[in-house]
Amino acid sequence: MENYAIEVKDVSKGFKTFELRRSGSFFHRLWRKRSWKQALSNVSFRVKEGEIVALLGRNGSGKSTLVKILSGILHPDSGSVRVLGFEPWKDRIKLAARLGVVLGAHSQLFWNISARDSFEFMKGVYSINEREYSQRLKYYLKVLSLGEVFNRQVRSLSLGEQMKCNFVASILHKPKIVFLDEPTIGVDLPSKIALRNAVLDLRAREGTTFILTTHIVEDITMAERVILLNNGSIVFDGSRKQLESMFGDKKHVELRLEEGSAVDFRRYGKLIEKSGDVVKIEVNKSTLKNQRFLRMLNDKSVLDYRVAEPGLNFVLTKFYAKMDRKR
Amino acid sequence: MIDLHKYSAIMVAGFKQELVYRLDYFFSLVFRILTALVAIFVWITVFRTTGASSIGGLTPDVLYAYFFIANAISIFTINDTVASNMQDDIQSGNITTSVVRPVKYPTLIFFNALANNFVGLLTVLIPFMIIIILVAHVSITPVTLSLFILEIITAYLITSALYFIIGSLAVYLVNIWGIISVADSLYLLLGGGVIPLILFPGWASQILLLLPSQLSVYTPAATLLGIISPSAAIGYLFAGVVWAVVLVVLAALWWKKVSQNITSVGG
Repeated sequence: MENYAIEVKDVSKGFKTFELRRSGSFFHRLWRKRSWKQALSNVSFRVKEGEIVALLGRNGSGKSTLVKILSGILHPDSGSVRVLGFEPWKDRIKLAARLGVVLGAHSQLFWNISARDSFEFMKGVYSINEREYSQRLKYYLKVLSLGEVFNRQVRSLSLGEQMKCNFVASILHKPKIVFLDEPTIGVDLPSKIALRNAVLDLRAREGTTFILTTHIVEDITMAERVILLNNGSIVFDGSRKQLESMFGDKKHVELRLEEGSAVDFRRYGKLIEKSGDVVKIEVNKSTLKNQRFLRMLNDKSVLDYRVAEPGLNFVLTKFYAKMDRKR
Repeated sequence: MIDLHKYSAIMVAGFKQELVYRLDYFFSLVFRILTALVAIFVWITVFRTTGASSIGGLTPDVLYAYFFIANAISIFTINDTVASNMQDDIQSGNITTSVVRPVKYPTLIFFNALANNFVGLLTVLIPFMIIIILVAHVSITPVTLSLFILEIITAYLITSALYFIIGSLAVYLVNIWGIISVADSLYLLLGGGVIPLILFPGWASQILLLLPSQLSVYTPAATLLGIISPSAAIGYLFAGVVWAVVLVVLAALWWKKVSQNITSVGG
């Protein structure tokens, strides 16, 4: 029998929102207009222990609300949720001891004192014994190349160093599930790679389950499964490979053209990008076998060309556009 | 079972944060001393212009000592750290990180503020008391000292519960600086921080001595300076304990309801 770390069934959640009135009398404008936003509608899914799942969607699609419900911060209006066998908002304290939450926008670290002081705080709050604390801290400081950085006041650290220290603070207690919300936002490439490797390493060593919400495509490569939310509903739940191949009949062709080239590439596909002498077009897979297209590629004014898979960015853009057309 | 590790970790982090910017802390102490001096100068003027040797039975020396000690007590008993920290947490969305820890949010906010206020207790209240004992020759007996300690502990619980209820309003109103400022001023006035409660008109004084605010400044200062007898102080302390129990229970019930409405930043 499969062991599920997370089970979500028919969860819905809405919020009251307020908007400033932009018309009417002065007194009328003093009072804000109330409206209702349905953040989640009948969301259901299950996550196996040790899975890395990317929760994707545009801004306002309901990702953060879902993560907050899973971690016990928010109460759903309806539906049932079990996380590690607990009902999050009822057993919040018991569950919190088994959860790690990395919020890119809200750090676990105390701003005015050193990261080490925040780690010591976590040690006390999560009742980590001294030996395990020292071992884990030493390990993560090495894996994330934090050196002596953690002795400095958090506010004086670079964004990358802060993010890495925030990650360490959130996983020191060896959580069973980690929610990663934009964990690499604003972070430089080496730090991004270090963080991704730390996630994969933690999963391999401890079997930790990760729920990742991000807009950074490279981060999604950590996940084997993707759940796509749109306007509070799940519109895709499958493997990353399945998602990537959803628009598999398309290919991207990048052409480097001679100055003043008269090659008519537009007749074969849609122009996606033009930068200097390089153009990128989207073509159907069958076009690659088209003789006239092949002759165009061999035209002397085409200095170089490259055929590539569209990539996740393209797939997601297409997917969102398709959702918008359906509305 | 009470997990002392958790509470000591919260308090240690609170101490460290409070003592990072020592110069700023030093000037906040200077501000407190200046406030006490302003009150004392006002009363010096009152005594000089009226030519009275005592007002409401209080001699100038007792009144000056009262304001000196009242100001020090109020640092510990009337402080809005709980409410302002809650507002900051809710406004910035950082409440999310606090709520995901295996500690109840009210506990976290209470012990964090306690650490913050403990620094005030050690650096202001205790030195001020020593100065008062040495300079104003106030005779402190073990009974008055014990009553004084119990009074300020009870007062601390009362203000923490009240400011917790005020702070939780930020869940609905987000910005509550105005409310906190009004609460500070009212509490100081009703607690005897501006005028000793004994100097209010009889009926007002009787009402104010029934309110929870009486324990925040007036009763402990009056107990210490012998303005009220130990038996009267026990009566006020008992009323304060009842208020503390009622307010702590109210704050807990209120938070249970309010916490379901936390939306934080981004939904």
